[in-house]
Parts: sequence; structure tokens; C-alpha cells
Amino acid sequence: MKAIEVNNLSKKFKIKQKEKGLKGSLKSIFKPKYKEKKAVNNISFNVEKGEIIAFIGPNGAGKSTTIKMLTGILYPTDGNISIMGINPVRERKKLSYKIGTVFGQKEQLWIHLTPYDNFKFFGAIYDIPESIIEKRINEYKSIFELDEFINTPVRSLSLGQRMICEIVASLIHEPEILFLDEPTIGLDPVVKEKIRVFIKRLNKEKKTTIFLTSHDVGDIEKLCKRVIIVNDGHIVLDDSMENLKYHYLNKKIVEAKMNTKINLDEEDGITILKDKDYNLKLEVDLTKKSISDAIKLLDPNKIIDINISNTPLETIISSIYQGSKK
Amino acid sequence: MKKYFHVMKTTFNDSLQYASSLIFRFIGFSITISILVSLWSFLYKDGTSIINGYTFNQMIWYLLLTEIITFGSGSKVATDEVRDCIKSGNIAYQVNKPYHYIIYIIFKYLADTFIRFSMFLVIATILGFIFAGPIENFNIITLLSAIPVYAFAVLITGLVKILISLSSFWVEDSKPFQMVYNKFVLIFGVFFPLEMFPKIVGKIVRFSPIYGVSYGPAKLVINFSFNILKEILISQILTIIIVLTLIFFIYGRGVKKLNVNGG
Amino acid sequence: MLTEVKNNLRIMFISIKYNLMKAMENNVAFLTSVIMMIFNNASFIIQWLTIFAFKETVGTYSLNDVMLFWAISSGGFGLAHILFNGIIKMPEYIETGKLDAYLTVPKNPLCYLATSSLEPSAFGDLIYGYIALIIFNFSLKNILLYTILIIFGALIYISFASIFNSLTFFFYRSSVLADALRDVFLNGSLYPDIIFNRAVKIIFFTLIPSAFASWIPVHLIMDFNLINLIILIAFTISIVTLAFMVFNRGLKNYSSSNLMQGRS
Repeated sequence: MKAIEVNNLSKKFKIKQKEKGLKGSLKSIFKPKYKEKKAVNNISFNVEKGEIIAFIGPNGAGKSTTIKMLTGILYPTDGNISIMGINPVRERKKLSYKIGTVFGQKEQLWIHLTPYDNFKFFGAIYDIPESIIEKRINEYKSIFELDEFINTPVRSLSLGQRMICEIVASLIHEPEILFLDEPTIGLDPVVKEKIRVFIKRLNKEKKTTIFLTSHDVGDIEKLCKRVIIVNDGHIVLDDSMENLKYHYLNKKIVEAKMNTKINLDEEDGITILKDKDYNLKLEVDLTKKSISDAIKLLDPNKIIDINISNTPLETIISSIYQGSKK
Repeated sequence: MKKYFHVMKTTFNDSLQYASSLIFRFIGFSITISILVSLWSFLYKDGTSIINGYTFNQMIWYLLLTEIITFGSGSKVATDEVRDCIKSGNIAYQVNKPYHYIIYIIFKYLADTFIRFSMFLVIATILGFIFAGPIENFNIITLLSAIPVYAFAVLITGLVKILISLSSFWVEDSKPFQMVYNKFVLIFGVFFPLEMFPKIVGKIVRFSPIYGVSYGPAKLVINFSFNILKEILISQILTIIIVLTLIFFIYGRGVKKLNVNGG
Repeated sequence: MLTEVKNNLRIMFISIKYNLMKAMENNVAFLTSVIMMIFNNASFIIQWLTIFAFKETVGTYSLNDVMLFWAISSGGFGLAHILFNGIIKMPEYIETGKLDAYLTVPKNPLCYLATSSLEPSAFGDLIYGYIALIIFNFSLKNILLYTILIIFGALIYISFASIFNSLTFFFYRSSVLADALRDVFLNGSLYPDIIFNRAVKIIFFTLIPSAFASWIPVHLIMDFNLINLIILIAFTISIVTLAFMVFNRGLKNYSSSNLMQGRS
């Protein structure tokens, strides 16, 4: 069975339009105008059990709307969703036992309670017997080193500590799929790393399917084997991370420090990005030229230091965003 | 001065945008009024024509003319906004803005109130005609003299609310105090003219801000005389001076306290 | 089915307990708001003392009778805001997308949401209700009956609030209407039925059912009558059911905005 099956899913919103100024205000009272916006436009995809998938796209692309339809928060306008064989629209309650949700920008915890009380509360929400809750809390306590703050009210915790608690709370019922919407937003690198390591471990040990949206390329690169990119409500790319890199990584960046100034002429396949004093930065299109062509061009005898690197994933992704814009 | 008018204009625009929500407030207003009208109709029904010097017509208009001020100046600018600004510590950032926070709030309050008040005035007038007929002995002089009196009444209401909100520098929540003040105005000003109370209570009301924000303006309209006009204006102006002085004094103390504590 | 109801009730109970802990955390603020509310309500005794100074009776009612309306309304209202104050915050939850958190758990969202908040000052209302009852209409039978009747009052009031707050799903900012209507509901229940003419009475028995939350309970205390009690129970069940229906229908329209809190 597939973990997630989505067929021809669409969601339309009505947006109230208002014209400028006073006149517009008056007009909108008596004759409100609505514009229909297709936040999600006929998308289909599947996710296998045990996958870690990144669902990404620029702001307003329809990521959140999709994730909210998958988790039963929003009703789709059209199309079908099946999560572990469950229809989120009709069986929201049944679904909620199978999934966990973490929305980076919306807190679910009671902020005046301690994490411990919160976990117990969420345990009760999912009708889990006391003894099992205790066991699970202890388990997460050691994984996340919760000891130092498990008895501090949530409102006195740092952002990172809060996010860790949000994640633990959403896992207290051991869901089969975990939906993470921007889980690392605003966190420092140490906490980010901790969360990533944990998500990986969760996926490995408990075979939890992970559905992740993030603007953080690090999250995507370090966690996901597969990427779905949406833009303007459409899926513009659905591919493995490897393929993504392979197809888009046919450009290399060559940075070199020279001992004398040399004059370079651009050739087909080699673009000069920077040429300042003794420092050079070239982009090599591997479909046309090889790295050795570039090095030859530089004159190997004059090179003091050289660095050859891939185009950063971030650049790749933003070029896909740009390219898919209508 | 110009910037304060700009503040007014922007707020004006904002409140217009939500004029539709005002319509719902009118429904609430109209029903609140009808309930009190029901009460008075019932009390006058057994043939009583005058209660403590007031005819039914005067009593209903008294009620409407005082409720306009209560409802019309119910802007949250003078209450919640000031309180939240202090509680959240944002007030510290207002200090180095190119305007004086208190003056900014007063203007914002006035702008927000202007539209509300005018609309409630229209509704109240319609309701008055429906429930009680035209005001007895109403004329153009009454109308003209009512304008400054009502303007001052609205201003005083806002100033007192700002003053209470400023207590947020020291107390946990100023809301309960707002509520108590509102209740005092309601019971000793809106519900009954001061003639209805025992003499001593009436005296106290006469020397409190309640006089300037409810009894005074309403009495002027339903029973005009130049004597009353003079008395009310003096009371209102004195109240404005005293409350304004208190506001600036307390605001200064509050901000200083903020600096000492580092916000 | 039964375990489900039990589990839902358990969560509601825990939520209310947590809310209480939160409210009492700052006990100075808590006590201040409770005492202020008691004074606030008590101030209306002045309104009626003033009226009874120039009228011996209002219709057939004495001051004690009028105060019974106050006791019942204040008690029911207080109870509602202690137990189910989340309903009052529903429009905010809908407009800002906070409702999300109530939709991804296996509990009834309306029940869970209702108990997510508590208004501390409501204890003042509840306490005042008992004070007014004890001062003006003391008897053990009355206290017992009162305690049961305000539960109905609270359920009717909060269901009414919920129905109109659910309109936020369909119309942006419609919570203003709900606020206004709640005010009217409360006013209707605070004043004795006798002062209203027929048309107004019909409104309070239908569109704004204050009559069921206050007038009928008041008459049950004055003069117990089994039929009225049955009517009250039937009405309570119907309006609670309706509240759930409207909310569930509204959920289909939920748009879960990521609205940042802008200027209000």
C-alpha cells in the first residue's frame, strides 16, 4: 500500500477584491467582488511507505494548502486523496491516529504548561494508556536531551527547544506518517542539525514516512531522497534527488587564484563569472567543455590554488522556480 | 499638525472599510435601546405621566442622547491599543518616533470615533422618532450649542479611558478598571438622570466626569437653557484640563519607570 | 460510541483543569478580575433600587424576583465562560488559522476548541450568581435547582454563541455580528420578561433564545413545573445539536489562512 496517493487534487479560494482608496472601500461594502484563486491546480503524486519526501516551492506556490488537505484540515475542491488508505475528508478522526503534524509557524502546545505536561496531554488526546506515555516520553527524553527543560513551562523555552517539543508532541502516538511544514524555520544550525539527525533516525528505525516542506535547502539536501517542486499550484518537478542533481549539475564552478594576471577570452561553454586581480571564477558547462579544457585555458603553471565545486542546490532550485514561472 | 491629520485620514479609511461591521453594531445598539425603551414603557404604562420631572418623551431621548456617547466612543484605540502598547513594551519604541505618543493616540481616537459617532447619531435619531416622537421644544439654538458640548463629551470619554489605560504601567490589566468606570457612567449617567437619585448621590455625580459625558449633554438637548449650557461647558473644560494634565503627568512617570527598568 | 464520549469528556476535563492552573498562576490578577466582576454585576442592584424607589412593584415582580433574573443569567454566563470560553475565541482561531491544531487530533474539534480557553473574570459572574440567589431568594431547594438550571443556561448561551461565531467560516469579520447578538442575548436574559411586548418576546423565544436560558429557569425556581423543565431540556439538546451541525458545515469552508496578525 502507498502511504500517500493524490489524484487530480485542486483547491480554489475566493478572495475579496478591494479597489484603492475611500471609494473602493465604499464599493466593497455594497458590492464585494471576488476573485477565484486556484491555490492548487490538478496535482497528482504518490509517496511510498518509508520515503522521506521534500515538497517544496516558492512562497504562495500551494505547498501549505496541499499539506493541509493531506492532513484533513482543508477540504479539497476537487480530486482524491488517500492517506494509508484513509480519505482525510470523510475519516478525519481515523486519519489523525495515523499521522503526526508539525507546523513550524503554528504552535500546538499549551505554552503555560511544561513539556512533560504537554506530552501527557497529547497522550490523553490520542487515548494512550499512562504507562505507555511515560515510556515514550522517557525514550524521547534521552534522544533529544530533554532533561534540562522538560519541567520548564513552554513559554520560557527557546525557539529551538519549543520546536523539539512540538515534534515530540506530534510523535507521542507514533504516527506512520509525519508531516513537517517548515520545521527548522528560524532555528540555529545546531538545533537544525539535531532535528535533521532525529528525523533520519525516526525514518530508519520506525519506518516513519516523512513529508517535509521547507525553504531550507540544507533540510532537503540532507534528508530527502525525492523532491516534488510545486509552483503556481502545479507540480513542476517530481524526481529523485540524484536525478535532480545529475540533470542540473552539468555546470561546475572553477575558482582559481593565479600568480600573474592573465587575459582570458570567453569560449563556448566557459563563462567568466569573476575576474578581479589574480582571482578568477569560471562556470563550465560540462555538456560542451570539460574541466581540463578550463584548466588548460587558465594555464596550469600559473595556478596557485584551485577549487572546483558544484552549483549549489539552492541555485538549482531557484532556477527551477524561475523557469517554471509563466 | 499635518501628520496628525494624516493619522486621522488613515484611520478614517480603515474604519470605513469595516463599515459593514458597523452595521452589525447598529443592530446591537438598536436592540439594547429597545430593551431599555421596553423597560421605560412598562414603567410609564400604568398612567404615570411624569417620573421625577421627566416625561416619557424626555426619558427616552435622555437615554438615546447618553447612549450615543457610550456607543459612539467605544473605540478600542483609547483602551486596548494603549494597554497593549504598554504591556508589550512597544511603548518604548514610540518614545523616539517623530510624534508625541499621547497626541497621536488622541487624534487616532478622535478619527475612529468621528465616524462611529456620526453613524450612531443617525441611528439614534431614527430610533428616537420611532419610540418617542420628536424632542419637545427642540430648536436651532439647541442644535448649535449641542455641537461643542458633544464634541467635548466624546473627547472627555476618550481622555478618561486613556488615563485608565495608562495604569497598565503599574497594574497587570487595566481592563477591569475600564469596566468599573463604564459601569459608573452607565448606572449614574446613562440609565437615569441625576434627579432620580438621592440628593447626596446627585451632588457627587454633578462634580464627577460623568456629568460632562452623559447627564450634561443629554439634559441640554431635552431641556435647553443658557444657564445649563454655561454650567456644562465650564464643567467640561475643567475636566479636560484636569484629565489632560493627569495624562501627561502619568505618561511621563510611566515612561521614566520604563527607562529605569529597561523596558 | 460511549468510550468516545468518555474520551472526549476526559480531554475537556483536562483542558479545563489546565486552564484553571493557568488562570491561578497569577493569583493577584485573578482575584482582582473576579472581585471587579462581582462589583460590576452588583452595581446593577443600584439600577433596580433606583427604579423601586419610585415604583413599588414592576408589574407583579418585587426586587427579589428581578434579582432572580440576574442570578440565573450571571450564573449561566459565568459557567459558560469558565468551561467553554474557547467558543468565544473561535472567530480568531478561524481567521488566523489557529484552528488547524484542533483539526489534526482524534477528538471532536468543537469540544476540544470550546475548552481551550477560560475567562478568569467569569468566576466573578458565577460567584455573584450565588450571592444574588442567597441574598434575595435563599432556600436549599433554590440553591440545588439553581445549580442545575444554570448548566442549561450555560449550554444554551454557548451554543448560541457558537452558531453565530461559526459564521466566520463563511463571512470574514462576521464575529462583530456574533458579539452584538451575544450582547443582546445577555440583555434579554437580565431583564424580567414582563417588561417586553409580544413581538420582542417572540424574538427572545426564537432568534435570540434568552427566554430559555433565563426566563424559563427563573419561573422554574419561582414555581416548579415539570412540563417547562422538559421543554427546557428538549430545547437545550436541540440548540447544542444545531451548534455542532453549523460548525461541521462551516469546516468545509475553512481556509486555514496563515494570516499574520496585522493592524487591527
